[in-house]
Amino acid sequence: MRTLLTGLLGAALALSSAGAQQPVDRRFALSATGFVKMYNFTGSIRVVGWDKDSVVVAGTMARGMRFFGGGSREAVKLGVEGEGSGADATADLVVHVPATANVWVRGAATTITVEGLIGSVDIGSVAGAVRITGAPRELFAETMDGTLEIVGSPGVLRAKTATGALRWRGGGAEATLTSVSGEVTTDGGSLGRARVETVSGNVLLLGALRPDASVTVESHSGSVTLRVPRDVPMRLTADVVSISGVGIAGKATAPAGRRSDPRLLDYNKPKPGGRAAEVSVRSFKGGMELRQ
Amino acid sequence: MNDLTPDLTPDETRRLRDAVAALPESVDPERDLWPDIRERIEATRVVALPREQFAPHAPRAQPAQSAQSAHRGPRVTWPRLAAAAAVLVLASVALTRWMTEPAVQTMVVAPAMDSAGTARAAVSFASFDSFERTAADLSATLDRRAGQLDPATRAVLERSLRTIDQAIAEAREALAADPASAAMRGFVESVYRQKVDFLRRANDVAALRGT
Repeated sequence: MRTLLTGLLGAALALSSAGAQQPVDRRFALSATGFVKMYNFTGSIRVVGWDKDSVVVAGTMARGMRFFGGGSREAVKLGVEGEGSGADATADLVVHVPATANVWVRGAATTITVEGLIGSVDIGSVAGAVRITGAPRELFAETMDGTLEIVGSPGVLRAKTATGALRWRGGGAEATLTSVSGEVTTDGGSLGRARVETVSGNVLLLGALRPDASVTVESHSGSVTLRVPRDVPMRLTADVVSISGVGIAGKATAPAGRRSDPRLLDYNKPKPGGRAAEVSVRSFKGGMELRQ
Repeated sequence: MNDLTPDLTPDETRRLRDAVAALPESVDPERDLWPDIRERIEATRVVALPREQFAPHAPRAQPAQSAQSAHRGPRVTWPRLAAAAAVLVLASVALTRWMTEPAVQTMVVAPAMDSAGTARAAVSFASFDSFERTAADLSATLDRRAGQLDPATRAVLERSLRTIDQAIAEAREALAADPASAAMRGFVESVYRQKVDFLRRANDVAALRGT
């Protein structure tokens, strides 16, 4: 009897929840290199690149919310507006777009996921997590409080957080990574020209370096961890409070250079006529650790 | 005249008068001194004018050309334009500063130092004024839009701004203790840049929520 009552109650709750949502199902024609602008301020939005010249939106949104969308074959604008009602007043959308389209997404308390886009991509959320997979030609990604995760190697990358962690698994020719207090981590690819800035967030550069790499790290109080490449010649300029692991194998701790005289460290002697990857690390209050 | 030449005979006086009358009204020096004088004046000028205007050996303008130049009015040259632009910018900066003075937060430079150090610090910090003004403007705009943000977002923004402001205070204090340090200056500038960038981002978010 108790099982039956529990089952009935569960079914009633499920029906009630389903009734609080309304379906979204819209389609728009869009050229392969067209522009798509999307808004969803609460809930989630998943953008998937495909090989069709159309935009298809599917999902649900709370009662009281309204879907809007329109445009031309060159540009489509869509989104959800209205506050909705109830504790679950969110919208959850899955949007398929041409893989080569130029995509712009904005959210607030919105989890944003992007997959398989190779055009220009611009993503922004406030409190939600953002995850981008693939290799857009240009990627601008930002979230204030959420975690920002990028898996892939965009041509140009600009990624920013405030308090959220920023993780990049991939490499690229040009990247700028910025955070206030979030930790910034790079791994799984080779860096070319890169700039990393934090105020108090720690920085971990655990990926490889291109032979012509030029990497700059600036932080106020964050510590910096750098993986020294095994084979690529590297010249490190370090203006930090302390450095550990200078000898790598022995993990010896060496005093840092004076502020007016940053410490220069060379690893893996370049071949005659060759050059070394250049890494500059400055942290006002933070230390540095070298790893291999 | 006789009073001035009491020892001369009338004949001598007449010959003297004739000789004086035969003298030219003006006598040119053996060499032209003006080019050297002009060169010394030019060497001390802050804004150098085109050399050909005062070149000592440049051919003099013909009367017709001079008349034409007179009709054209003052010659407009790049140096003059640059000087005019500099004056305009300085005036604009002064006016803007005067108008926004109450909104600018003044940082306290605490550590004691000698008068030379104080002077250096004052010069050092003056260059951060533009950051301060930009940040103050962006903060004022953000304050106006704050009502459009939900409390959780406001809390995130405030927390991050506190982190940044603390970093600025620490870096400035270090620079005050070592005003000549380019490294310290770099740290202060870096955090200021991040503050301005962060405030711009925050304003973008607030503007988006207001649409």
